[in-house]
Amino acid sequence: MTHKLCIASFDSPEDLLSATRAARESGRKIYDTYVPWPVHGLEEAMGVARSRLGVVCFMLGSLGVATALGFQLWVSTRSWPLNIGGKPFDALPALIPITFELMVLFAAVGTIIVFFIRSRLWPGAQPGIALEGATNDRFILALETNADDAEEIAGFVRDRGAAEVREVDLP
Amino acid sequence: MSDWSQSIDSLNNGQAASRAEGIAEGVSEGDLVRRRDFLTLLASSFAALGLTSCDVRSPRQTIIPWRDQPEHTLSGLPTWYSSTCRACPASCGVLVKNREGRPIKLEGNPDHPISRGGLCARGQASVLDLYDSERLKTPLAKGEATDFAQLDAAVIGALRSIRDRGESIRIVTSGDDGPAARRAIEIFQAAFPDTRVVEHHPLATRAIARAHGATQGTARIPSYRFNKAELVVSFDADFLGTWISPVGFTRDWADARDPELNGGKMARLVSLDPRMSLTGANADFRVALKPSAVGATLLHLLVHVGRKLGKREVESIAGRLPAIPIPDAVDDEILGGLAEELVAARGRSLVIAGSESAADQIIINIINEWLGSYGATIDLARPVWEEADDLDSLDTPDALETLIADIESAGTQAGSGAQAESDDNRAVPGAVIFLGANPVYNHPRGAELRRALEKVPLKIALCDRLDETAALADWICPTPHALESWDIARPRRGTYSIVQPTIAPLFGSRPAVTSLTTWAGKPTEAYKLVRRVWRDEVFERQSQFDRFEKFWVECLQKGAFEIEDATPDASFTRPPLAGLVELAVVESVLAQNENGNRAEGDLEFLAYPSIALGDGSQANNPWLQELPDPISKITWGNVGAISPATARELGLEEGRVVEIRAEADTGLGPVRMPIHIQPGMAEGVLATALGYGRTHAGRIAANYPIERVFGIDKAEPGGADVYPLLGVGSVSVTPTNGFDEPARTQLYDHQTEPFTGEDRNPAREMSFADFIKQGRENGHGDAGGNSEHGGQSETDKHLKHGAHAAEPTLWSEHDYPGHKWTMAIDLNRCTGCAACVVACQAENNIPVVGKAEVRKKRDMHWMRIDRYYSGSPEAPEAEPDVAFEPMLCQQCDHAPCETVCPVLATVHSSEGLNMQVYNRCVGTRYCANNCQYKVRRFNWFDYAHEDLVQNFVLNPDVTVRSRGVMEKCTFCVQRLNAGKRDAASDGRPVADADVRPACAQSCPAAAIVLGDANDPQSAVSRALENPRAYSVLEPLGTRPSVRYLARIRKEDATS
Amino acid sequence: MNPSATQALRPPLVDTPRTASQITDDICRPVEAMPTASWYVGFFASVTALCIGAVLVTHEIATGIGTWGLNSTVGWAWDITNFVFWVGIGHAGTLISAILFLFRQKWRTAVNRSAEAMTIFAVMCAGIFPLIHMGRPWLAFWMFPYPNTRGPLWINFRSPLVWDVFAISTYLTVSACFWYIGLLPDLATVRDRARNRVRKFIYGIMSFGWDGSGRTWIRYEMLYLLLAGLATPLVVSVHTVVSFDFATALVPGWHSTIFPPYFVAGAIFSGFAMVLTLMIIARRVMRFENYVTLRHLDAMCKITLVTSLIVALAYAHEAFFAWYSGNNYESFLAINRMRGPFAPEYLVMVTCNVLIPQLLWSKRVRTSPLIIFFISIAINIGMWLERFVIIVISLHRDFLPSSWADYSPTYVEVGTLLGSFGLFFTCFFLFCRVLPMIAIAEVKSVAATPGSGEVASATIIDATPGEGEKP
Repeated sequence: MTHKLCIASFDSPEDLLSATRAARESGRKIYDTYVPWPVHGLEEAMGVARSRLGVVCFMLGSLGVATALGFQLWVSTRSWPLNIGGKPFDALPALIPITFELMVLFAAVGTIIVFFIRSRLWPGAQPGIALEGATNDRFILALETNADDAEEIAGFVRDRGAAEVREVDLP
Repeated sequence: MSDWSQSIDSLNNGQAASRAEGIAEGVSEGDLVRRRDFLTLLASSFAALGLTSCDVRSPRQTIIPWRDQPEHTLSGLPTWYSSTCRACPASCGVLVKNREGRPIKLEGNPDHPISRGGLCARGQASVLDLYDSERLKTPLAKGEATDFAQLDAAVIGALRSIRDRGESIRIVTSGDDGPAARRAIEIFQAAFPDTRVVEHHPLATRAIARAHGATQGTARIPSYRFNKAELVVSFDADFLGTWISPVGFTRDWADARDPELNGGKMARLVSLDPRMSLTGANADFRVALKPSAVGATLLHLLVHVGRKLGKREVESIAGRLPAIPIPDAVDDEILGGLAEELVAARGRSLVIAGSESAADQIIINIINEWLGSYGATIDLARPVWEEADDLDSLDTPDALETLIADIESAGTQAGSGAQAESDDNRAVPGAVIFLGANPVYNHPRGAELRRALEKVPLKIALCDRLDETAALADWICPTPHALESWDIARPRRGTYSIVQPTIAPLFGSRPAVTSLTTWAGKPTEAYKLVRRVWRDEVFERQSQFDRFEKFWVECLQKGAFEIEDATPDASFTRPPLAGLVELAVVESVLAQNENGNRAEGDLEFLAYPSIALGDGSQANNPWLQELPDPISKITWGNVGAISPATARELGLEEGRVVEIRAEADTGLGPVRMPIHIQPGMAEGVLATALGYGRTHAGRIAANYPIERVFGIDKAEPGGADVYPLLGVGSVSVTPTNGFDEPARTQLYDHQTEPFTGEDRNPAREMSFADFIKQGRENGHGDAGGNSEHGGQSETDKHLKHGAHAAEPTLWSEHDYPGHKWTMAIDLNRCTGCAACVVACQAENNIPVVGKAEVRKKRDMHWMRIDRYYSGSPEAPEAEPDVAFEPMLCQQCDHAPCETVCPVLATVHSSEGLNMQVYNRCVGTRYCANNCQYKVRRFNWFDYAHEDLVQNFVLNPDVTVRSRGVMEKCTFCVQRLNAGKRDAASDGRPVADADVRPACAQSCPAAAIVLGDANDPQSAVSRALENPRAYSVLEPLGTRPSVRYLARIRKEDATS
Repeated sequence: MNPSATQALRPPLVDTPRTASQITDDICRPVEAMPTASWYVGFFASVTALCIGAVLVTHEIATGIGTWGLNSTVGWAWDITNFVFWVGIGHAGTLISAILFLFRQKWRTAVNRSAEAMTIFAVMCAGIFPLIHMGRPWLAFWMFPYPNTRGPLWINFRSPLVWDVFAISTYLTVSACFWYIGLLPDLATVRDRARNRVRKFIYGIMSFGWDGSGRTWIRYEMLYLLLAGLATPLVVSVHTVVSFDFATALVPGWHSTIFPPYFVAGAIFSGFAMVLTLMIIARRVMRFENYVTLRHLDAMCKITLVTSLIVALAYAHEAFFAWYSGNNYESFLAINRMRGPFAPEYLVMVTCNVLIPQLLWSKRVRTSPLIIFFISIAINIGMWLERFVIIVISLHRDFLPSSWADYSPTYVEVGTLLGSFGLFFTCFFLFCRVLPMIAIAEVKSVAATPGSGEVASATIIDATPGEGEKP
């Protein structure tokens, strides 16, 4: 049973990547990593599945298109059809710009909201683990430990270049 | 019960009328306060539209709702009364539209013998004069408010003592007072025998009467029958604009011009005038002829005509001709050709002149006599404006000048009674009564009169406002507006027209006839007097009716009555012709020598009545002040118009303020006004409009708060008074450093583009020869027919299609199953007189914006008249042809304005109207940008009337638009709906007469037709099939619902 | 990795090698230190301009549009000119952040934050004008389709102005989101450096609890990519829709099919000019010469030059089609532009937008900030005039010669434009003070040397590929 996290702080992203990769290969449970900028290869090193935000975005965009087209057509032909400049009620080309804009709006704003929810980010949320330097220049690997293997894991990360190792309680 | 409800009562009930009169006379101060508070309340509701923080309160006094609804009056429906327009002496018939007791619009009376349905701009605007808050509200005694009882007591006392002293009394009238006023004067004269009438008509055409006195033995101004003429030659007689009876003349002329009416024939107009008058602008052939050259030209024409007719008499004149050289502007060829045309059209021709020289008019009379015009195109049996003056003598001086001389001589005569006794004409005037006349302003010697009046012990003014003359008077009696009073007009012999009140007097006024008869000791109400005169002068001389009451009611309903058995035609006395010509020759030569040899830099001066203001009596009318002059398109003020060549010669530019000084010293300072460079002006002539520069007409006439920046008003004077210069002959012009850009509503004058010279040709015309040829060759289609303005652009190729239906379209059309409102405007009938502009303004509550806003091109007129000169800016013509084109919303079926409005404030109706929803409009102005005709108008500010009284003229059927809202013509949709409603309640289909927008109704030329294009019988359907029909900017594919019929120019007399 | 070879040959994006920590210090300094005197001068000048604008706009709304110089013929002038101008300015921000991101142009990292901020402020400025140009701006909400009691009365979906409403509001929303998403990690950095509890609290709320989690970063990069992918067509669509205001109209000079690409190119052109103006000022005032290097200026100048050529092509195309179409209204318009009452405006426009930018062919010009600054000012003026030329010259002499008119602005219009600049720079100066002006995380990812300082920057670039690559 997991009680604690072993926080290993590295100087460079390369060290973090190799440590992460080694930790995963050796079957250790990677709680998370904390990095000041997106480090290339981290996804693969941590073994995280590809994000499905793209699918969400597509679906939301489609919803935007359907909403815009449906509403405009309903207004123009059903709710109150008006002769405007002699044009037909269901003049489709005129409806395209708004359809496009609503597609983008739905997709962008919706995807952002989904991202916030999934990542548990909201105004005023507290960082999961407050880590010195994780937003500055430290590259941190958090491995799950319990009372038994704390020493062993600390040694494991030190061997892989961790400049600083400590234990914190699981949030 | 409020006052006007009683007046309605009186209108429907002859017996109650006298009661209304009594109430009108007895309006107390309390009533006035109550009414004003009501106005405030009414105005507040409009002001609330503009989101001003107005505190709407009930008046302090008890107000009582309109409990007893008068008979025949339904709230929300108009009541119509026939009456007579008194804006000018022409006395056209009007129908007064009353809503909820208020007259809100005047329309031409189709049954009236003079106007036959039209009404000019000034007539249309005169309804606003009723609600002019600058009118007097109480009688004044030496500047202090008083009441009629006190005034009467004092005036009667003073008049009697004058009579007892043996001094005479003079009544100065405006010259167009009718039989009722004359009867009142007679009653007055009976009480005060030494009373003489001084007729002062500011725009007299006395020379015509005098000339007829000389040649025909009867001093008359004849009726002219333009509808019988095939050739009219006008020497500066602006008969389409301001001369004698323009509305009636316009109708006659338009009919004579209409080839469809006359079996393919069409009258031709030749105009020789010094300025570009409305008549000159409509002429087929025009020569710019300076005033001093008219006499010589007429003499030469007389000789040409005489020779062609084999008149031996002319040879004696011809012998003297070398002494009078032919003027530069014309040549022998032109005059010979003209004479030939005149002779060819003998009996169907008409020569007229606006000249104030009796000699000129005598030559005109001789030419007309030779050509057989009398009895054909000239009707001496029905003279207009018979004047009381004895005009038989050619050298009768101006009546008012005689008055001034009398007063001036009074002081010297005081010492020598013997002389006064011996010269009866020089009796001392002890009192002068001004009966609606304002000679201090509108007589050239007004300043002298002002000084002279100081010597007159008693001066009484009966007038509607504290005008220039009234300001000098001791006693002032406010007189009612024509819409508040009973009167009779006699526009020509045998034609009587009733002036019927449609509202009780708004202010404390009393009819002049009541005042005069009261002072004479026989107080008579105007209503009673009018009935008496009507009985004596009209009823007794007709045979159709045997009971007066029946006759009276019939006349009230119709508005006018014509006595058929008028006096027989005056015999033509044939005076010794040679002697007359001798006289004419001498006068012409003298005049020419006097004016023609102007000093270097001097200009011949010409003052004329403008279309908008006429003699200036309506100068405080904002609609007229803002009415663009049909030619110059200038509003709010007069300008000194000179020709481009003269401007170059004198180094003057548009807007340069100059000082104009008369050669002959008038004793007044120079007149300052801006220069306007006017194509078509005769060279060496400066022309300017009368009627401006009034100091006592009111706030609007004097100036206008035109721009308000952070609460600071900027105002500027509204034009200059040129009456002192009337008839001075020549003036010197000195440029100043001042610059005063005229406020014009049209800034670009040509149909031709600058730089490229491409002719856009929105206002098309064709020659008469082409018209005939087209009619022969292809019976239909091919409307475009550009004759000489032949920009054969791509535009024209498109226009080969007669109707929109043939045009390709990308999408399925909306259909118009019920009505499809369509308009046709016949440019061949339209004279550009601008009556429709004011009619539209009155009907649709269109605001007035002021001079500075017009300068910014923010005039609000929904109906405007585009005026184009031929030529281009690069190659301007000194004497251009002029084209007029009324421009209003074209109600496009594929309206570009509709598609761009974000909030659906402008959409299309199922009857083909392009509707504007004012309360939905948020004011993006996108629609106006996208309108190819630029007929949409935006409320840049809150234009709610500052004069709260003027709000009474608002048409309740039309929304008053707030600031930030776009507005435009809707073919008077409120009138269309009223017409549909009337037809439906009568259970008949909608007819053309039901659906007449204000512009079409008022058009003196009947040039505008609106109707249902779905109805093949409608007039507009027939017009659409006319081969002259085209739509402006048709290739844009917007399918306008207005079609124009191209104008025809009759280039020569042949064919 | 293959691109490393070429990248290694390129000059570094940061002039003197800095460690990640030093970069953080450098960029956060303006946010944490007291402002400099030049900041105060600039800020108060901007606020003054803003106040002038606010007073005049209040006057205009209280009195009427009549306080402007418009008339029945020229219904739009400075108002919509300013609108299109500001929308155009905004475009460079989105372009730098989204399009250059998709094209993996790493140099963008030094300027993208400011450019995005500029976008938002410019779109804010732009949005004011359609609002205040209405006759009754208090009814502006009628532009939105909402259920109401006026019967089922909606709005006109055919009107380009309604398209504008949707396009501009979408653009503002998406740009703001995009910008804020980019700011999140940096806000967390500022929060973590805060010594002061108030700062810590405020930045704590603003940073949404960002902790640098690798899992979040992975999703974040996907989100950023998606937003970049959405923002790119959006930015193109926005100026396309703005150009529809004119292109779908009937007015000669507006009714033109080339407007969408022409407007987008013009927008990028003016936007880059504005970015250059701002960055040249900012790098001096904020002492960011190390981050906004001459190489950045050079790259932006090249884009400016290219878009200038596109704009020049559009001008030539307009003139050509005026002749080639055979439409006399169009050909008159073209001649009237060159010879009519507004010919000076047209000539200045061509000079500023076509002739002056040709100086940028020279490398020496492209690397001399002072000259670039003046060129960018000229382009800003020229592009403002371009919109003025399109709007006013087309309107003032359209179809019927009778209604041709002139136009001149009033002090209210001039003051309103001044006020919009005041708003823009006030926002920008505040932005410089309270938010990291340069994207800290992104710059570090491309430019930071490790703590030891031994590794060459090129190697770092090599080792930390751009964000655009799929993680």
